[in-house]
Amino acid sequence: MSTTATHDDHHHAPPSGFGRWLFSTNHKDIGTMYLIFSLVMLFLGGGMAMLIRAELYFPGLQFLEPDLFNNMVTTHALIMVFGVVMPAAAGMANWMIPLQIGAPDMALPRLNNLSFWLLPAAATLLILSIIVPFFGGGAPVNTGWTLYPPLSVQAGMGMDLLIFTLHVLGISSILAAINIVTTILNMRAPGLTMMKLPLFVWAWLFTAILLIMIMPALAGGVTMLLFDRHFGTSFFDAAGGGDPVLFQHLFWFFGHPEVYVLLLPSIGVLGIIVPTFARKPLFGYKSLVWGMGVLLLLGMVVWAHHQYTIGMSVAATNYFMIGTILISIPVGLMLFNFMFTMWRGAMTFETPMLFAIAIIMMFSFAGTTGVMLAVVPADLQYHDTYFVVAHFHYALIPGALFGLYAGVFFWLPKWTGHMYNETLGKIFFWWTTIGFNLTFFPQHFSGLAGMPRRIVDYSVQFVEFNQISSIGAFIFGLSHLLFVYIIIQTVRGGPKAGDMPWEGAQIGTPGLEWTLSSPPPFHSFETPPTVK
Amino acid sequence: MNDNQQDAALKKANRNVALLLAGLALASLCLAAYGVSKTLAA
Repeated sequence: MSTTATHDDHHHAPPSGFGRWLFSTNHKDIGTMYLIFSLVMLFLGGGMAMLIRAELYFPGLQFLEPDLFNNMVTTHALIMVFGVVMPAAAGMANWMIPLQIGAPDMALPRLNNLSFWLLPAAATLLILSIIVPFFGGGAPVNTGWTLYPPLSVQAGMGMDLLIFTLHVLGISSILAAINIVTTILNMRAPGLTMMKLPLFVWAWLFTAILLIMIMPALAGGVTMLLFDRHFGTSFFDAAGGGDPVLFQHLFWFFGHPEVYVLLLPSIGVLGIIVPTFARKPLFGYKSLVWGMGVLLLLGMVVWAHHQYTIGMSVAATNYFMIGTILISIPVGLMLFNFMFTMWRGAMTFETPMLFAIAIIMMFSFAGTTGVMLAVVPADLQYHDTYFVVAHFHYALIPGALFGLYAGVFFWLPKWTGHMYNETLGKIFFWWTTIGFNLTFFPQHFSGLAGMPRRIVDYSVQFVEFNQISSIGAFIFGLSHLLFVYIIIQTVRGGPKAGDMPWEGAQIGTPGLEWTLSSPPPFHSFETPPTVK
Repeated sequence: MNDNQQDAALKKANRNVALLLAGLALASLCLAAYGVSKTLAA
């Protein structure tokens, strides 16, 4: 794809002061706010993980009451999913989609502003849900992120705040998703056909469509929960003719595809980074696009594999088992495409590429344990053990979080105009990777040995595994201080980054972002570039 | 930029796609409600 960059070099200065951010309709500013918000929430959710691991360093009760421990487990998960990964991916989408498709901004800039500013409101509600039990608001929310009734119906006032949090987050996500799809469909530069789009844009198109289809089920489910709690309905109360399992279906109809909402943007990031550092065009671009589409469809129809133990019919469990195992086909295809892209490439191993390779390896491992969990008789043994905790952390930390780190290191030079310190970047990579594996690898064994999840205390036979996990968690957690240091250092200065800071970028990722300066002008592509 | 700076045709096209997607979200909510009613009626 060759391009003619004809953007006007306007000299509109960005607005100054707090108003620049509060009223911003600029996709780069809103993207930056999303990224900063997710970083702040990463430390909040990560801090909770540290508390959990500190408590579990020894068996018996140390300093967290059981209800508070379960509250930490609940809010840690909700913060990491809704407050960290989704906003960070949305921040990257805001920054990069208009730049990659040659658009001056998002299609609906004011809606974009609203989507972001709903997030701090939701975060405030979430934090209040933790605090209210200390001021007479009943028991802490101790359900886990799945919010299953009847426990969630009996929980204190924090549950109401959590339900409102999910409403606000749901509205924010749907508005952002509508904006992203509209931008991709309507705002592409002339000549930029769908099959010329960078993989990151395709990944976000599928992610946004998925979000639009699944969030309403969660919103409906938690609203019914609210009605059961306060308005005398019994949707989920068997005594009133309701069915608690119904909530599980509604939750997982949202919850399983949500996993792909978290993963797909990182797959898109890999589709940019791997070809760049292999200095080869992406292998099987069309099959990757189709693979993501198949993943979207399959991901929506296998939700009940999270519920094998509720006593479904054999036909239903077989259907969900086979459907789930089929998912390994598009996922395997993606991973093989990335490996074939690297095959005989002139590879170099800068920080984004190190993360990309680690993702491929560790996510494959999560896929393997995922297939184990998909098999009904095996899952009946593993269900609700630490094996599940290990599996989904291997899926989501490399699959989502590491993909975002890779994206940050890859695009930081474009965003700031400065190269980050490569040595520090590599130290951060090894520090996080070792810490992460030390934390979660032993949990496979404690899980297989029967240690249940979401329990504050445990049998002494699991002490060694838990102590290794806790030490690993603190290593992993502390590495993020270096991450913040690298970002601040890069924003403040450092060697100048060229318009195309990565040598292989034009071979691997022929996006339009490289036709702009680093950092891009405040108003970019006011005259659309032409793609030939 | 904000949407006042988009030309009228683009603005209309953006609005139409956004409304279509909002309809998709609504359809998903209706599907969930249908599932709920079938389950509770059974």
